[in-house]
Amino acid sequence: MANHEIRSLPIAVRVFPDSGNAERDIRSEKPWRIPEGTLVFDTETRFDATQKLTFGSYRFIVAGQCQEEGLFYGDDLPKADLRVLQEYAAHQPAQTVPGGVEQLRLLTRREFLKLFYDLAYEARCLVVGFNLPFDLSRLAFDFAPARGFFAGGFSLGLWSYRDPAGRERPNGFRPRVCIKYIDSKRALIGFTARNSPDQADLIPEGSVSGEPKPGYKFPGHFLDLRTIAFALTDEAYSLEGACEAFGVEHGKQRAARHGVISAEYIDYNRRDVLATSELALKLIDELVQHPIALPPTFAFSPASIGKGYLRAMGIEPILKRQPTFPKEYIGYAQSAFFGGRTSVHIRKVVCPVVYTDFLSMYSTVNSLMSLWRFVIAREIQVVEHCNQQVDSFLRGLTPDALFEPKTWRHMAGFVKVIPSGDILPIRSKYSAASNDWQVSINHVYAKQEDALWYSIPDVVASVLLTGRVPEIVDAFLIEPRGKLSGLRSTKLRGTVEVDPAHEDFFRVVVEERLRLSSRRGHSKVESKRLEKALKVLANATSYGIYAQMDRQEDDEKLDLTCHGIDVEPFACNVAHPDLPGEFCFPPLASLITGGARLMVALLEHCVSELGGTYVMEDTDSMAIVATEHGGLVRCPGGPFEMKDGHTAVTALSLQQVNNLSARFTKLSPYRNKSRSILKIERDNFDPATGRQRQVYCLAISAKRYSLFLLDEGGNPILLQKGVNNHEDRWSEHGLGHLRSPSGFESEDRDWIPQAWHSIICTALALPTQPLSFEHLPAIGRVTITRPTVKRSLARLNLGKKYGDRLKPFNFLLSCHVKQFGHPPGTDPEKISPCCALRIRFDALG
Amino acid sequence: MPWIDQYTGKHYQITTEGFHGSRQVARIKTYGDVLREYEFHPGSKSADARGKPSGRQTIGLLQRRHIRVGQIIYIGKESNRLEEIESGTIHSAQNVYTEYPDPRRDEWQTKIMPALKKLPVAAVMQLSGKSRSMLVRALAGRSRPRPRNRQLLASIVRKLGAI
Repeated sequence: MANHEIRSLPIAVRVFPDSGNAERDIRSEKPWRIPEGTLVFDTETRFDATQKLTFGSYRFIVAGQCQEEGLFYGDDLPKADLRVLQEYAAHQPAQTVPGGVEQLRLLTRREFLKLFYDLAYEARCLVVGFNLPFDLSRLAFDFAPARGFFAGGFSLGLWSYRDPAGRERPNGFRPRVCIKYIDSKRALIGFTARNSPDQADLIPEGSVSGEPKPGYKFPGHFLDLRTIAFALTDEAYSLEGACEAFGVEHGKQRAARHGVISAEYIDYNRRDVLATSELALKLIDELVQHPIALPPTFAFSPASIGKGYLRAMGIEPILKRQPTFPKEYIGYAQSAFFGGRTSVHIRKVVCPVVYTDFLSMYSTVNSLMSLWRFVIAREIQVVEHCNQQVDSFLRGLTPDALFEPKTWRHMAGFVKVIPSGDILPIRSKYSAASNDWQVSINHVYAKQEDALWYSIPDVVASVLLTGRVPEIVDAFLIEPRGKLSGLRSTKLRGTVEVDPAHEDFFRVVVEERLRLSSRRGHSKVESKRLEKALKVLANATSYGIYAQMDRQEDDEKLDLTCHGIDVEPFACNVAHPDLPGEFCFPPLASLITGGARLMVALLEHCVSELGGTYVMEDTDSMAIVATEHGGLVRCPGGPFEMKDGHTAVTALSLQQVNNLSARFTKLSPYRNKSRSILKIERDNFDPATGRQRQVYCLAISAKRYSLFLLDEGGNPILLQKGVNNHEDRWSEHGLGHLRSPSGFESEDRDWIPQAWHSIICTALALPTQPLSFEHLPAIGRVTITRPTVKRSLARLNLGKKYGDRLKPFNFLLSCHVKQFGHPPGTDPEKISPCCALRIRFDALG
Repeated sequence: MPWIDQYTGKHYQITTEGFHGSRQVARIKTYGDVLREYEFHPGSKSADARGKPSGRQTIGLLQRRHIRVGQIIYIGKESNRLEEIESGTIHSAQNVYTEYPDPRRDEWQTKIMPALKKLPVAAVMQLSGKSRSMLVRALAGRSRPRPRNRQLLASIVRKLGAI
């Protein structure tokens, strides 16, 4: 028996901060119609550190018809380059409709900005681009940190004038453009106010009366196609990838050479704008398929679409319709929030496995626990201090009872426990090196004054795994009362009808997705899009929106009342608090993820019950050690001994795993009861023959694992999309930020499977050759996305013109200093023990 | 072309050879270095077969760790700006968590500060290397030292057996 070291560590729990302010709702309730005019543009830049504007092109489109096309160029473009543009514009016609401007216009940056102002601000046209923050910052002449709503972002000055001394000054009679970066797929973009606005400027968008409203600021209609493509598909696309995915007729082409102006390069840029304009139509068409009042410019993520459906069904956010819901219970539930369960159980040992995965985990758990009742409830009541009731429930639990769907309906509640070796989620800093908070499922011990709140599913999982009920000091249940009035049916992507008052939305979405293959009347493309939409919708509505907390980027400190694990809240004054999102309701969020962890724990229990084990689990999947006939598999630290004296673990047989999967059929909340919610993943089957094959797994740590085959000689063959599998099965977690060693601009990711192959060979004690790129500097690419990043580069910009500076949204190369590799005399406090980040930025090229 | 230190703006050369940097040159990681770190990522939230935290060299069946709740710290959501942490634009994950100090559970206020007040300021100055004004402000509760300074002062208090 191993000695267990009990280590005292600081732990972190999530808090529910309440600023006491009225709810923020930036979403306009007014109907939005697509502006008649659309300005599509794209820029090209120098291929150096400055990435300054060389030229760009634009199309002005009205009612789908291109009325005007033109080129524009940077302020100090070399004469030779300008001549190429002039020559090109003189000889190439514009691709406009009859009646449009026939000549391809050639404008200076200032002239283009005049046009941009007239169209984007005065005429309120739609401004379309792919990665607009980059293109807009190419047009600017200065920047500053943004304030207010855009705090944490940049304020770009686009329009300027020259003062009597010849200095370029911001034109206060023109708005600025603010951009707040969210992540690589999303940014908020909007105009600021301008001095002496016209009366027309003050007429709110969608105003019926047309009356000016003092103080109104027109925010603009900026549509970044990168963002809306992500919102519709939950995928990060390049322009090329999005054009392919949405069937754009004139997709993106590739340039033979970037940075040097030539007729071919101008063709390339114009084609990009054409592809962008066609893609915009496709994406807007796709969004219109959803019967929700969500403007394309407000489609920031799949959650935006999910929330749009909830509104379309007449569902108001819970905390908005029930603002008196006791905050202390929200705090308890928030403190019980943890993400998905993810860990490694067998480290760096190649094991034969069957890779399993739960069907739409969060939707399934929602349905099993009947959480839709709460989403549509007229009121949610708290049943306080029901310790006895919960204790009895826990004591009466058996593993078999957990295979009864009705058991799951009794888990809508939270328990405060004094853990004493119980197996519960805990968030701590387990490694001094990484020094970050990580969640794990461990044996937890606490004093009475440190009793912690957990969701009932988490406590059930502990009871299942330890066989004992923890000491309960408090408990509460939540119960739905009545139904919201005004619930309305809707059609998912205009096709699948759902009645929120009488159907479980989560269940319908998954069922319809499963039924798609048998649906008639849809083309293959249409079916694929519907399938994708349903998948996105299932994910978007089943969890994240109830957990959404938005970090405030403003540096100003706020007075907050915080609800945590104690009865009494506490006051604090902090900068950058996280404030609840529109549909945030922590009790639901914590129950959903707790339910998912219980499902994985139930699988763990079933595997252990059979004497088996697993290599890793990741939120909704588990690689169970299994071979065709079962038996011992060599594994250091395993509880069994092989004939040769090596320690081992037991592999289940394929039949046992199939039986396990069949056992989970009973928990399916879906109508089709022949299908288990525990899937034997497609990776386990040869795509050519359909026969089950032996898959192997090597895991290093949470989220770092690879699945592969072994050939007859025992050499690893990675599971690779299009080669021997339907998708790549190696983790990029922790490596995704690095560029390809074959070239910084290359999108080639082949080096990662090569690295995994080498790691697996090492684990198999096979000979390995050094990787051809091992000796090369590990280079990443970062973008200047926030003023805080920019500050450290400020001195590099001193005395330089805007075009020559390192500007917002410039791409930079980065490298990391090896431990002890920093130059002597540099500030060691900014160097973390294992991964110093001292010297980072460089020019491209 | 020289590289630029993101914190100071100073220019340096880089090398991938040797083990240490020199005055003008930083030894940066190669892909090989990154992959070795990746391969030996400790996974310390689990324990090895002996019950010790999983380390770089740990191989085989892991088990659950046994954790006693020490201090309880309130934080906001963890998933802020993960892309920037991974790329290294943000130096520490701590920079993206908001901490909400609860005076009732805050170790600095409940344990460290009262213990520090019992010690001579001069001794704390000498041991910490911090200025008198910083210490006086902190002990009077007029300012809350940065996390690393709080850690430093806590370690001094513990070293002196004051708590």
